[in-house]
Amino acid sequence: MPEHARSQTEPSAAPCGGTRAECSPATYLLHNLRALWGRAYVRVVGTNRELSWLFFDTVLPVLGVAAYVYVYRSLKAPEVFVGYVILGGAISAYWLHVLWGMGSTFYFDKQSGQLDLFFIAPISRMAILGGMALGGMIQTTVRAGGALVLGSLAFGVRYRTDALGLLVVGFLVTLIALYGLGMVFASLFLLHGREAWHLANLLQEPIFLLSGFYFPVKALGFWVAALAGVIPLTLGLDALRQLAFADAGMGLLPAGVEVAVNAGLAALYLVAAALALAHMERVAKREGRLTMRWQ
Amino acid sequence: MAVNSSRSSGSRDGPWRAGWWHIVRTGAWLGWQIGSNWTDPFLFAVYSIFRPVAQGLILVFMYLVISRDALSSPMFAHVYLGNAFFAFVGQVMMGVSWCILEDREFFRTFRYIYILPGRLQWYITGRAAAGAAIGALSVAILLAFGRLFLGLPLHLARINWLYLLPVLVLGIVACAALGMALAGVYLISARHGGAYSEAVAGLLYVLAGVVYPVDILPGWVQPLSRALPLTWWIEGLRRACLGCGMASSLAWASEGMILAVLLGTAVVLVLACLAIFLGCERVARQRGLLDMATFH
Repeated sequence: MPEHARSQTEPSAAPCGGTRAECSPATYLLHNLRALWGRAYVRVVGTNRELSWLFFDTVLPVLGVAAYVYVYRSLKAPEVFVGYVILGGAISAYWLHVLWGMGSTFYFDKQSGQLDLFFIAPISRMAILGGMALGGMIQTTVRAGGALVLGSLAFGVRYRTDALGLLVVGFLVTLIALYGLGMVFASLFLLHGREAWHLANLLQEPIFLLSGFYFPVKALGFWVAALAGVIPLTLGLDALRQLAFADAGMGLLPAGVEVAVNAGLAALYLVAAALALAHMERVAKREGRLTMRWQ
Repeated sequence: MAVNSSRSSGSRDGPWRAGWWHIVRTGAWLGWQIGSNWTDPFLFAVYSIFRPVAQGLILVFMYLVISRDALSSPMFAHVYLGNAFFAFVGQVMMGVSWCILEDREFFRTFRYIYILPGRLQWYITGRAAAGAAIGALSVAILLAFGRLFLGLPLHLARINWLYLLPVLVLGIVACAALGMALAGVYLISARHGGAYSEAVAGLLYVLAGVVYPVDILPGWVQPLSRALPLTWWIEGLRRACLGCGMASSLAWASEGMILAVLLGTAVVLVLACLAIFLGCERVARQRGLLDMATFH
């Protein structure tokens, strides 16, 4: 494209090579924000374009938890457990998304040949990961929300609303911490080739168990549950259950404390993600398998 | 890749004709390699143990949170056993259907597999056999864990092996048939990843009474549940391993009756699934969908 034509079609493009050294901080920031939104955009828009996903991602989790609801009902458990299961099932969508939509995404991108493009683009890799996280949060919230509404209606779950403020804050903090962890996974999984696939598989049921998706995590015992707290959903889900349902004395720690711990985890995982990304890029360049497919 | 429909039948004749057993064996070998050679044997063993045990422990803690004595109830043994054997559904049904996506989308080898002499169904059957082997490993681990650490009343001497074997095989065949039908659907579907097979597995988990007696299901769902071979499969497995069934609504059926119903429903299912697979394969050939890569 001739230079004059480029300046007409891209009036806001900064006259620089795009790298941090070549641009002003403001231009570099703008580039990265664009990259972030661009990566998020495909996920947000994908939700609207492929509406059949909504069916699969709202009905499937409800089907999965329906079996556990019937287990509790066959045990004549208090009805609050039905609510615990429905909430856990809806929240499980976030964990699955972090594994498959965040952790494995660079691996999938490598398989489809897109990873090369991300790495030659003059933007921070964190912007790509941030966009993946932002888009994924929006996408998954639509689906998890649908599953929550559907499951609650199907099984007559009742919620309390007197702690709505802390519930919303706790939920957002948990999401940030969780997707920070997902950004760490994205780098680590990429280093492990085909093992990443199985690693993601391995982190499904064991985390459903350790994070207490279908029962109060307190049942695991304090220390096991506290160790499982490194997964933000463990304490996040426990806090949400305490804040959304009548107190059944099943909380591991007070909800406020759990939210505060997750805020710390959020900061920790975001820093870890930047470090892991740099490490992954270094190792991949040194070993020359950054774009090697089918390994 | 559009394939002339007369082409594949031609390839099955003459010196290039491949024996079905050879294709099944090669498919099984390939499935086992893909399933297990991604890591060293130790990590594979850990992986093989962790996932099924974690799934079983979820149920254990669900029981424990309600009552400390719940694990010693006969109902828990039935629930645990049903959940353990359901691993076959994951490995066989979902594995078989997934192999189409895996070969086509990730490894990009499906076109080469498809043009090989011999029927695709035999290759898929081989992959099902590999899934069954991995599933058997999971089930064995789960049952051993249940016996050793949870005190499940599973005694090798008390298991009715002569009854267990045909029930088990028929259930696995039913799972493979469902996987075959889903594989056909994946031949013509653009995206959706493994969503269809997850949907079917989720439905079966609910409808077949895997972790509770089917009596607890709403009345309008129960006829649907009884029409499924997997409901009879799970009931038959419970009777073979624990000596009695779980659902009072199936108590009228003798062991022989359960086996007969399982056989009948499985035969119907296999025929229906085969028809679905062949129909989808024909459509995929006509529309040139066999080697599409959708980056789902």
